Amino acid sequence: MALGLLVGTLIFLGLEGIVTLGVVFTGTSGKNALKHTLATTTVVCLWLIWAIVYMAQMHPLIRPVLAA
Amino acid sequence: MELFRSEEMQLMQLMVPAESAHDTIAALGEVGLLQFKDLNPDKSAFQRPHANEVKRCDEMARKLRFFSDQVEKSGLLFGTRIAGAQDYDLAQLEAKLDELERELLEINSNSERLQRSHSELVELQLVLEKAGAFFDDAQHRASAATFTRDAAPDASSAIDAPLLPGETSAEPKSVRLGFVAGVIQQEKLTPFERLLFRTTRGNMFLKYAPVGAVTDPTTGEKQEKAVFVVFFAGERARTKILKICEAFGANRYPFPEDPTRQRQMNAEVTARLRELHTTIEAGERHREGVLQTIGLNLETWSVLVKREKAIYHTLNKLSVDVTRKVLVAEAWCPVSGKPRVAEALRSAAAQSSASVGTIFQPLVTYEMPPTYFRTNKYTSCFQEIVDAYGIARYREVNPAVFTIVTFPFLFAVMFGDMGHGLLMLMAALYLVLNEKKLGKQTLDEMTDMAFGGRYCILFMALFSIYTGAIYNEAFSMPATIFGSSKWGCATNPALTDRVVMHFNETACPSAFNQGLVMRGKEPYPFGVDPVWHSTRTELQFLNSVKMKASIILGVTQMNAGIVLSLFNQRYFRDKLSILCEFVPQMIFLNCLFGYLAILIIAKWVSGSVADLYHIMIYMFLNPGNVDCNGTCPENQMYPGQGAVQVLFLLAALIAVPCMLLPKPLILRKRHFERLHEVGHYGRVSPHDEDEESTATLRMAAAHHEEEVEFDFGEIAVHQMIHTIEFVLGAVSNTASYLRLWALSLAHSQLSAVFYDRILLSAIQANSWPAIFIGFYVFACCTLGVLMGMESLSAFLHALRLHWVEFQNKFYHGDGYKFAPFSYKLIDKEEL
Repeated sequence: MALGLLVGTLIFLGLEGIVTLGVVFTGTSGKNALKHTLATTTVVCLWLIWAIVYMAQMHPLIRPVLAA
Repeated sequence: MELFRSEEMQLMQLMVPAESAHDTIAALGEVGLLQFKDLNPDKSAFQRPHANEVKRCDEMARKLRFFSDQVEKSGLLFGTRIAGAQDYDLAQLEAKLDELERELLEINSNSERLQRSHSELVELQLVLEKAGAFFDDAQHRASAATFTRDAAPDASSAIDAPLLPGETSAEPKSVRLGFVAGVIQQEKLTPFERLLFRTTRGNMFLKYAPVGAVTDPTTGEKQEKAVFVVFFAGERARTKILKICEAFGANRYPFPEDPTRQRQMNAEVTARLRELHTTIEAGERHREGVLQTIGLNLETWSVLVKREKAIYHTLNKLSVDVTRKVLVAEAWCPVSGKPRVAEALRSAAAQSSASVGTIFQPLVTYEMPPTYFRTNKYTSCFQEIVDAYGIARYREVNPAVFTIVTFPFLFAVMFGDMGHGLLMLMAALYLVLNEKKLGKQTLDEMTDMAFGGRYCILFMALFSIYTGAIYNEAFSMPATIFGSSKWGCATNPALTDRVVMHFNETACPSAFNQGLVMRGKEPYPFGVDPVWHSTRTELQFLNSVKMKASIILGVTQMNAGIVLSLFNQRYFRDKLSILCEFVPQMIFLNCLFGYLAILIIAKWVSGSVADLYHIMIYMFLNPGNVDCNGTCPENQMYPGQGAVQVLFLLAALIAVPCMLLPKPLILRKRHFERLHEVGHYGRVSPHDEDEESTATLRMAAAHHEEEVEFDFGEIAVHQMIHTIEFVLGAVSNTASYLRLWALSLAHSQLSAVFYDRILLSAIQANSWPAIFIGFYVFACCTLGVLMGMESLSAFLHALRLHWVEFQNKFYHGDGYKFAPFSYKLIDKEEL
């Protein structure tokens, strides 16, 4: 039913994976906890606001009416 | 995880041999990991052992301030220390500073004296020149008058011609004319003349000539001045005039009548002036040389003095052993830093060749250790945001970790606009890329604040660009980055172009009354559909989305806050608080507002037309009756909704007494049990194998117990306040998150107004000057109102949401900051 939402969420999951790999490859192992936390929190925030706006437009009750 | 909890601290005891105390403390300042406790808190500053040295350092600091003043005034540069410059210890430096100060003061007073006589001579020379010119003039005119009279003896036209010929040829001998010459300020000249005229009843003659700006000998300032000569008759007039001159601050100078004497004097003055000039120049060179050496060393010296003063301050905190051979210090030290401190102590002992090294050992204490976070340049500004509210309690969860992301994010929710985000990004990048250069300069207060928070601004800008893309606004204009609109004409779904519909009203008449329809099943893939911009229903739609978004974001962040309180309780092994605070709090918040958030999402995803206000209100007013007895069937979103809502309501209601009652009661019971146990073991303890150690332990425990006296009333009241705060807060904090909606609305409306009313109407005027002015006003409004005021207000609201709504769920913030004795910090202080 909500294919777009699922695909988008998967894309953000992919982003999370990329960010995690980025932290792993740039940081020193064993000292990356803070970076991982920050990266994950960022991706969650980005996903959340995207998902909210996406879902709000899935079954709109208000239609755009052009101003004359 | 670093930064998640503050560093583990330990109270350490140091026993420093008295003879190497100074060097040891200096070595510890280099390491900068110890916060010394004041062991003589009852002694005033004057009673302390090193009060005298501190006073000496203060005196030296005063001298250094005087030097830096002088160097600054003379416009010399503060040099950095040249290699091979002499190293001083305190006593030598004191002597050196003393000597330099005396020398400088002497040079100053000398040069001042010389300057004064120089400007006096300059004035005298001016008087000689100008007054001499008056006399020459008068003589010329007199001789000319004689000459004309001789040429035309009966010229009666001249009124001032003497009646009797030959009268002017001879000077009247009975009245001897006196005169006074001098220099006076130009602006005082008129009142001066008037007063002279009045006091002498007009029996005087003032002649003056302006000479421009001249240095005043007494004040040393440049002033507009004039040379004057007053002629008068009689000795009494002379005394009066002298008094008036004095009153007006006019400088009188001797002026010989005889022209030859005048010339001689002039020559003398010129010679003396030349002489003085060379003297002054030599003095100036000498002074400059002295200041140059001072300027080169000033930095080093002031660092030395600051450090010495700090060392003596620290020494004052140590307690002196009875034998006076050993100083005892107590200091907080991060556990991870202990090896470094021990190493520094060892090398200091070796260097000072003291017979005994410093003893460095942990102490048992029940005192709360200080809070110490190791921050770097990226995290420090966020830590400061949290610290501004309150320093974290020792080892409690640090909200700064999450603030690093959520603060810029919530800011961006309110400030979302790609254009404005881009402008902010440019400013932040400027600060970040030039941070090495800017870090060295002293900036004014506003820039310094922005510079300190440059990484915060950078993150805020990046998130603003993202949320701007979500809101689909760049300077309030929508973009079609992610494809064209998903809405089309109801009668002709292929028609999506708003411009065509606008200008060709026959193309899609329904767009103006019923509105457009969605073309497919899926909405716009990323962000708000561009179609909404400047439609009649835009506000209606955006308000609904943003308001619901605020509630969802708020509930999420508050839940995160409560989960962090679980981290705290687990860390401090506080199972009771988990059961009596964390669990009921989660239940209460999520049964009411978590449920609301889920209903919002369910409504969006399912396309239900239920009225959520109605559902929430009637969940309290009329539990179990979801569809208003059949009059509002749309509110029934899923089967069994009534039962679920009753369950949630009951759970929330039961959660309140669970937060309130059990914890204080259980604490009380535990307290009585412990009292009982202590009494019980007290009788057994003499038969323990290790008597001494148990006795000391018990003493320590008793001591601890004394401090934390159990007071049931206080705990119950505290719990009650906590509960009421949480229950009321759950409602008011959720409402408080609506500021995200309000601020975001205000931002987008303001930027739309500036764009439509100023820029677009200027462009419509279709003349270049109008467009230019319109763009100028638009740019000013965007920068001043949106980038300046709006960003500040969004910043403050994001700050509040973190301080109050987020942190009050878990953050105690009653710790105190670790303030180590460190040269790095001391060197930054003002002298």
